[in-house]
Amino acid sequence: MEYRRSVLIVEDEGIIALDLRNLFERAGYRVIGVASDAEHALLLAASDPPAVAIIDVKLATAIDGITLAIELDARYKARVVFVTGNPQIVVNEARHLTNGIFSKPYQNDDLLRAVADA
Amino acid sequence: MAKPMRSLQIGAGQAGRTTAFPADPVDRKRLVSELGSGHDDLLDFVENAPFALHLAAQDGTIIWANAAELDLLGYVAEEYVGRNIAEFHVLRGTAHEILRRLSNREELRNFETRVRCRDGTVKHVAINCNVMWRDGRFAHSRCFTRDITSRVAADLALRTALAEKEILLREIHHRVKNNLQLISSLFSLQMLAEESERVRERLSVAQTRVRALGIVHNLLYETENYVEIDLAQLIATICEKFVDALDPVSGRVRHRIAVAPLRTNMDRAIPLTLLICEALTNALKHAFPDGRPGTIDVSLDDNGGESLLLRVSDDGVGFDPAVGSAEDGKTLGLKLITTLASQLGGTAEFGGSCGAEIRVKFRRHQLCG
Repeated sequence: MEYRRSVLIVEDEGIIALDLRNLFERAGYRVIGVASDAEHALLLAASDPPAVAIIDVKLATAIDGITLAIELDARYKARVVFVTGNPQIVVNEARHLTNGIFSKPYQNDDLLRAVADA
Repeated sequence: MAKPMRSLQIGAGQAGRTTAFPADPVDRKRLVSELGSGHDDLLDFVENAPFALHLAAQDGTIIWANAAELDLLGYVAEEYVGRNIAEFHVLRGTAHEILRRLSNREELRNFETRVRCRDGTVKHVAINCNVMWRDGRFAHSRCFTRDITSRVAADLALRTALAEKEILLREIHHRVKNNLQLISSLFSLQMLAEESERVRERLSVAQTRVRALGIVHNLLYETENYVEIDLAQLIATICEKFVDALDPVSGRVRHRIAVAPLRTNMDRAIPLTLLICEALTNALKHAFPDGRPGTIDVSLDDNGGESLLLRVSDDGVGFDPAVGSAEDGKTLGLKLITTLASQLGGTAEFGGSCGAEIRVKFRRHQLCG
């Protein structure tokens, strides 16, 4: 069976999440799911741990993208690429987990490169 | 322990107001006699000054206070004189610090602290205080107390309002950037649905223009200056994002920047960014066909005169006469450059002897005024 790297998308803006899913599927990744909040992301990761998570830093629910990234690293050693409207709020404790912090509006190719390197 | 003082009814000043004065009438007579008979007016001046004054002993015992000080704290003289200043300071240790500094021959200037009034309310005060030394001994301290409660409250309100404004601005920028991403994603999704390569290409260019707007918002956000933007920084960021990202083979097309130290505001930064992005897109799209390497130069010259010159030039294949000029409406990119230059009060020219060159001449006050 062909091995494809698994990607989890965590983005609460539905259109952006759909665009990200298309982007990574077309680039040959296996998208394990799209979550709009950290709790859902952790449930998806529990059943199918992702190699890489693309995470919006600012999520609508209580747990933010940074906390989620720390959890995904601790539980599954997942690499992280952040997308955010405010790249400055990615705190130092999460910087070592990430292969890129991309400011919205980002360039799709930049994201693909960062995930390929992760 | 210092000698207690009694309160007096002051007849000459504000009738009926209670002040505090040495309990021993001899003291007052002595003071008046020392000052001379004409100085009753001077005593009235301090007793009824619209400024809170008190004298205290070295141990902090209040030995005299004027009417304004009693009013400030809401006490009558009998309740106030004879007590220690420590009883009125909100923070434990403040009185001790004041007395220690005075005993060390320091003078207090605008020492800000909080005092508790008779009714339990707390007032912010600024204290100016020094000591009368007699034969090398601490005779008494002279304290001038100013009520700064309303100023402190106004400062706090101002700081709170500023912090709220900052949060609001950040939130707005965050939303703008998120919405720009939303538009960009909609273009991407539309591209997937389009069969025509030509339409997909056009949508991709439109997406690029949306990202150009994102660059300005990002810089304003990162520099935390929502009013002005540094042009060298802006142009460097645009080049980095566009030339480095749009160049399909990394390093094939290089860029060089020479920008004078100038700043502009948000209103001008947006059209200027779009203009430069169009010029860069034009160069990246047309100047280096078939994997040809090359360099794009971006400069903004300031020769100290009234005009500023923006140049985006390349060493590529030059303008194709078949592509047409901005005037004849054949290319949207060149038309946008002309329109944006005009919006900024400038004029655009297209040419170049080897490679293409786009020159936009601005009047200084219109770009950076």
